[in-house]
Amino acid sequence: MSSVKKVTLKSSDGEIFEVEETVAMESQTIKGLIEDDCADNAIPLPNVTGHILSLVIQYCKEHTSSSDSNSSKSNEKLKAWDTQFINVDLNVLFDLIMAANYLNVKGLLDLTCQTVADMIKEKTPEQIRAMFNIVNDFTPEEEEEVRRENAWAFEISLKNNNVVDTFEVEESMAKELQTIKNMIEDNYTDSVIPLHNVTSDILELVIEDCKKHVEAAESESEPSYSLASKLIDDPLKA
Amino acid sequence: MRYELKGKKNILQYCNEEEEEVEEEEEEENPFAILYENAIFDSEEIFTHYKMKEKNLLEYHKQKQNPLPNFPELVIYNIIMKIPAEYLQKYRCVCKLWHEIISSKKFIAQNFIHSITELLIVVKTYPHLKAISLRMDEKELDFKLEKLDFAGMRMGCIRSSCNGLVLIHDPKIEGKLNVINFLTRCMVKLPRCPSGCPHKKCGVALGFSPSTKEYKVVHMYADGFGYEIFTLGCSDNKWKCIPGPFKVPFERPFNLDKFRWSDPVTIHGQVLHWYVSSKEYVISMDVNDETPKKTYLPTLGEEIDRKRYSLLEMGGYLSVVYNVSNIQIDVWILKDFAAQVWFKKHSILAKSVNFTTLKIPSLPNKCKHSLPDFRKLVALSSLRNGEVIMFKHKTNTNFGFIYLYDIKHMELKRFALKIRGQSKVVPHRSSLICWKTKSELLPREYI
Repeated sequence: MSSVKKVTLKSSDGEIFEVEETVAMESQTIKGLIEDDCADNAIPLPNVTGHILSLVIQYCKEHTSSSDSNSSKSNEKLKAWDTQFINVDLNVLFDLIMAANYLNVKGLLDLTCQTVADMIKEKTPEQIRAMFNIVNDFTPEEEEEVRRENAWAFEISLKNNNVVDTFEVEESMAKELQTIKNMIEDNYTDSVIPLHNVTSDILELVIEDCKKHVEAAESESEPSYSLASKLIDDPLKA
Repeated sequence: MRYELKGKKNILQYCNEEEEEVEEEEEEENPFAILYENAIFDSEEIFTHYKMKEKNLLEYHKQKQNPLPNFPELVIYNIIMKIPAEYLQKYRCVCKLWHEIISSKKFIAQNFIHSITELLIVVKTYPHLKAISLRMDEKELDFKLEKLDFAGMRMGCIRSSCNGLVLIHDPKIEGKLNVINFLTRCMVKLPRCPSGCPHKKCGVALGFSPSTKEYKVVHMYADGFGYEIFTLGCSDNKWKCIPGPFKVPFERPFNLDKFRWSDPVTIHGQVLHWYVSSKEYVISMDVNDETPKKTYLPTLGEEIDRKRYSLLEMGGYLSVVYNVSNIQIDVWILKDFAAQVWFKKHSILAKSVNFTTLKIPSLPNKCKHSLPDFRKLVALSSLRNGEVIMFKHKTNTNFGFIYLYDIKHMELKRFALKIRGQSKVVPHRSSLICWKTKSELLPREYI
């Protein structure tokens, strides 16, 4: 029986792990240490706890054996194993990311980052900030500027660029306009909602009409949707 | 109508106290305690508004219990890179770091690598055109449709897509082409072609030359005029004309009266292949060297019927899908463009195919489970990186049918989707490529 070279890894909380050298070399960090001959004794890993280190070692074992010519693990099976492996608590997932980054295990880093990316993509910017503890360092004007960057280049600008009227409307009325309703629900609008494509006089007409709608809904009469939609379409094309 | 929410506090108290209550941690953790109860609302809208607030509050509390470690910038870069481009547009405003990352050209290039192919389908509805995006499901043989938003403006006809940029007709001015990125909303208007082509029956495509990092629009109306090539961002803003592929008239494989050039197939945005109604070859051009040449079709052991094959892009290669008979379709791949080596990837055999059709109530029963005549199937595009082929049925029945064929599992499924006649199907991958002025189009560092 050929002797398999082993290395010893020590986690931050003192746990000792003995692993085969080939498995440990999945980590580029550890690989570097071994090649520089610094790995005769136990390699201390102060940034990784025992629990996380054991998971990383599990991952490395699974992925080392798959590159052996003897193993017949197909790509699909490995993917299925990965999906099951990564199905962990959010805190564990984040610790795994940090560990994969520190130990430089590319496959694990990609897998964990992909999982987090998939989690993020349905969220609003507000929810992302809450999730990552990010401070919004934009001033309201800067944030407005960023949002405006995303406008179509051919959208018509205001006729009177100098005159900016603000209209205060009740939220229920503003919600008649689907665009504004969405903005409100996404919490984008704590203060003034800018409407670039609509001039003051047109905006007045729209608000008038919204008022009529809200009143009509309350008195339960037949709402005139056709009129409203015509009015709303026109300013955007005007 | 009155809506009730059960609870202790009344609305006003909730509104005023909300901001402070959220900070208090020492209170025994019932995050619901701060939400109002026994409140009665007069309108459904206010009710749903507060319901939304309640939902957001709950999520906020859930996440407060899991504060994240501070990820190093490289890790954040890695995570953001895997988010599809269409979501990233709105994440620019998360914070300055995210904005910087998402706007960096290197990031945009790397993010594009992860982009998944979708199909853009232009549908002729009254009164204007409409574009829908078809996305293949990851695992099942199924797809999702989504309407493409163009800010309520009219949509032109989409002709080609490269690196997330779409070549599209100007809906208002005939004969004019634009290049647009739907996500970043950047647009470039092209000058009119020297040939004055109205772009109704011609072959045009957008390509990218990796050696010079230029985007080029290659247009062919009649090969007498030759090719007209426009480089985005070029200083003189003019089209360039180069000779067509045929030196003498009798070289043409097609009938000059009936043939019209059509849009070429684009491989990696770099090599364009035009169908020229020939049983021997197709005309190809590498956008790098702008030289048209003949690419010979695979030898099938019998004479190729020039009406029975379609050209597709499949997994990064040119593919010829040939209707051999009413029970067989062969799929060939051009593995090596330079050496012109073909390889038969697959044969779709009626006897081995597992055929299903989704419930289409108005379809007569006898049609429901019968395989279509393979000679009538026209290949439109490939999906999921060459694993799935989309076909349409040649005859225009009341329902437009499309068929999806999974190569690995030999499964054929029929769907009802109205793709009439000449509707264009363009494979597309989203990207965040943007520019503020025309001069940013050239020179380019990445894509």
